[in-house]
Amino acid sequence: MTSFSALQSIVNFLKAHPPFSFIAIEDLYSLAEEVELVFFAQNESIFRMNQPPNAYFYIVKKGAIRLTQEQDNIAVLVDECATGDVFGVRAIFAEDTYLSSATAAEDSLVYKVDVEKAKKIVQDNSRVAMYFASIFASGLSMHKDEERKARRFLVQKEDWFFNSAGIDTIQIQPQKAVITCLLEKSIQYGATLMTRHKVGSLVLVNEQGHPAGIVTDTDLRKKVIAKGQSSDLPLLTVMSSPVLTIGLGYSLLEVLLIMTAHKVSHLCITEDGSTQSKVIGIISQRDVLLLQGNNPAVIAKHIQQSEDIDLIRHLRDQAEKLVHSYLYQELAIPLISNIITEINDTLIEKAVHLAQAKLTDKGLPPPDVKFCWLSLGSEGRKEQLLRTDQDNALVYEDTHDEEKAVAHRDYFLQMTKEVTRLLVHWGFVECAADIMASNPTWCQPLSQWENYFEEWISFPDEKAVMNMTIFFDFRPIAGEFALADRLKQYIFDSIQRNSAFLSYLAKNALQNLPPLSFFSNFIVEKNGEHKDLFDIKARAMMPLADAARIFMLEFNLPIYGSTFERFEAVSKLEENLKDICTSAALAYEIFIKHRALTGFNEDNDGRYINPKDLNKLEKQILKNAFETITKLQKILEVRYQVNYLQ
Amino acid sequence: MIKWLKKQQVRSKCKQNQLAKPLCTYIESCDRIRTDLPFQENKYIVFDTETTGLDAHKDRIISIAGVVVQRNAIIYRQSFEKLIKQERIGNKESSPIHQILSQDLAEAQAEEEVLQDWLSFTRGAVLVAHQASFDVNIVQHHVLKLFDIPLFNPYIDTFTLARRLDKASIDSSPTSNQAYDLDTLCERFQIKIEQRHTAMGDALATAELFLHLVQHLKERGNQKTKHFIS
Repeated sequence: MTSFSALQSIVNFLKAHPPFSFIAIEDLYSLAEEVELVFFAQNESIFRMNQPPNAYFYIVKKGAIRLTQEQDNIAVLVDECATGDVFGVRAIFAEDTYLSSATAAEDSLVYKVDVEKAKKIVQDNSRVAMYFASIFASGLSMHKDEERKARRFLVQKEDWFFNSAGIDTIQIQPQKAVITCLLEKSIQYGATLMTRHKVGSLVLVNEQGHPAGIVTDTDLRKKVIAKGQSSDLPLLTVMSSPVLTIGLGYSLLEVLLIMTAHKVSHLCITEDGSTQSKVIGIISQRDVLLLQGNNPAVIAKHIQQSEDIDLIRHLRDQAEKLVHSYLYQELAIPLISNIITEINDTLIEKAVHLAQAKLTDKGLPPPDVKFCWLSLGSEGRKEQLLRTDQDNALVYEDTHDEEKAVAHRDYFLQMTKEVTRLLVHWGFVECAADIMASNPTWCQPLSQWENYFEEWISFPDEKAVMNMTIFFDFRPIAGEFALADRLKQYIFDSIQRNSAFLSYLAKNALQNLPPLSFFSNFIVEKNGEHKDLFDIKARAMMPLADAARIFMLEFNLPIYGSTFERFEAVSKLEENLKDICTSAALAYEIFIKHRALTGFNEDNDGRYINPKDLNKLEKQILKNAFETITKLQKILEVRYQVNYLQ
Repeated sequence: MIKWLKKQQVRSKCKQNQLAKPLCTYIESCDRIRTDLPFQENKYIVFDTETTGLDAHKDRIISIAGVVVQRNAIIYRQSFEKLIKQERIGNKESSPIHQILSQDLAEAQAEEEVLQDWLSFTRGAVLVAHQASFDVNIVQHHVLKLFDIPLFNPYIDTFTLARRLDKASIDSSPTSNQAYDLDTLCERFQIKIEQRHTAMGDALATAELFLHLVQHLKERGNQKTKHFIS
């Protein structure tokens, strides 16, 4: 027997809290039937770390639930859930043991929901599933342990640490500005201290100077401000404790391993490495990343200084390994692509420099006109994580002297041939479609480039559109950048004159519809070499990159940016597009990472993934990312009035 | 004493097959309740009634609602809420409170039907209500009238539990009684009453209150069901 109004009380609660607020009311009533309200007394356990999952997930109705991880019999606070927070939800996606223990921090009322029965309702509501997955993917976590789990979802190799360059040899140094504070001091005092010293964390010590806990920005935000906690209380009420300590003499690798194993973001350095000795420093995950961040810089510097093309090739390989390790460390994709872009750009600059030197040696000094080397396509968008094809072009200044024009043309062609040859030597494959600066068509003075773009923009036929997706993403790498800026401005002006162009481009972008039937029926290649594989580049990444490009052109974005950066810039310019651009950037990050990992594992460009290799969570996350594409395409359709186009 | 005799009389009627089967099943199930078991091993039904007034012998029940609490959890899908068809229910005192008017009872069922269902629903359960003696008495009055049996469920009063928690004396002044009415207690335990003065709204709030009170009293060593029974 069930009373409608009894269920109504749950539905009223659920519909006020995301992600349940996305579920249709009638589905909420079915869900409500699977809900029970449970009372947990303060300190009562709900589930324990390493236990197999219950058949339930939980929503806090009232009170607070602490998620902790036990390390050497000590509980470290991972997160605290308040009204409306969902926890223990991972069971929906992955069948694995709990990564943390849940305990009532105070008397609490918690809705428990039968997972098996709720599963269908959640899965049928893509926005709900998206919510869970996007939390995983975005780092906007309800629950750090689950987010971490989800972020690890792509990691298959255990030995990734050892592939990375250098991190096993760099020794940690105690950070100079470790700020300590007595446990009993007030939160207010601690916050003032952190602000004054511009630090993000504070080590709390007892009278002997031994570490007792850590307070971070996050603690203050989550435990004090968000809860309206009085700042007169002592710091020990909000600290994370105990502190994990290490001594000096550890390598970065070891530090990272400790942090990963214990799932903490800070380690305290003490005199003898134990908690019973004086604090001499603190090292955060961020510090480690920054220290590692020196490595690509070091490699880039070596490349700059070297004249030995075989050594440079070796450095490039080393850099690639580094990127590989970053991917497995789940660093943010924009950070990784920035690093690899920096290295690739350095290589190209080096190649241009070496090519010019070689020509000079042969008695061909550089002419008196300026040139600019342009990277195109994904390299132009700073999105290369792998060695893909070379896509590049050269633009140089015009001259009125016809004789000189021929000489310039010869010189730049010889130069570009040498550059592309070097790049091939360093592992960049030649472009199959010959879109390279060494192709006379794509090695032209500025006026000719303006003609090209004018032609493509005024008469956008299919081939032109295909070219455009590559050429509009140009980015200056070496030589005179002002030439690129002039070309960019010309393009913006030309688009102003040809108002239908963006609609045409939008229409074209809509042709690559995302595979919405992803779950039931993956859209895979029907035949050929890639039969039964899924083309993540064409079906997932291109639609997003296309949309970002159209926005870039509409909003005259002056940046030579990546797809993320374009979405990001637009989200700041146009309130209406803010939400969609934010999720689109996230979706792109997911795809690019997926592609990169597939590429590394299979030693190819990662373009084709086998749906059979995906686990449930990966499928879920990809599916959700596809939803963003669909939404974005609807927006394009309306914004650029695609339907009016014949 | 009279109630005990009545119960004995009814039980022997059952043995002689002189009572309808569903009623006997209800009686047997309640007789099987063991109040000396640990609290969480029994089933509880937290309930509330809306009535035409406060006189258990003269007034009539307009609606009755209850929800199951078992092992410290409110089990929403095991819930009961019915309106009872009554003649001329409007009056100056109670109508403004429950706001159920005669015309709202179009969908209501006959009293006999509802109370018979209620007895099936509450089989083997300990009843719980706020100021329970009134709700239990008025239900019992009508059950007696219709079926000639008393209620066999033991019952728990959350009002009494709350006072016990505060060690308030039973005969305290009316002002202090006010501190134990449902609204005040819900405020104290930060329980939101979704639909005050509907039978289900009050029953759900009382159920949450019950979970809190039981927990606090358990901490004081009350571990068995009988420690909570009025």
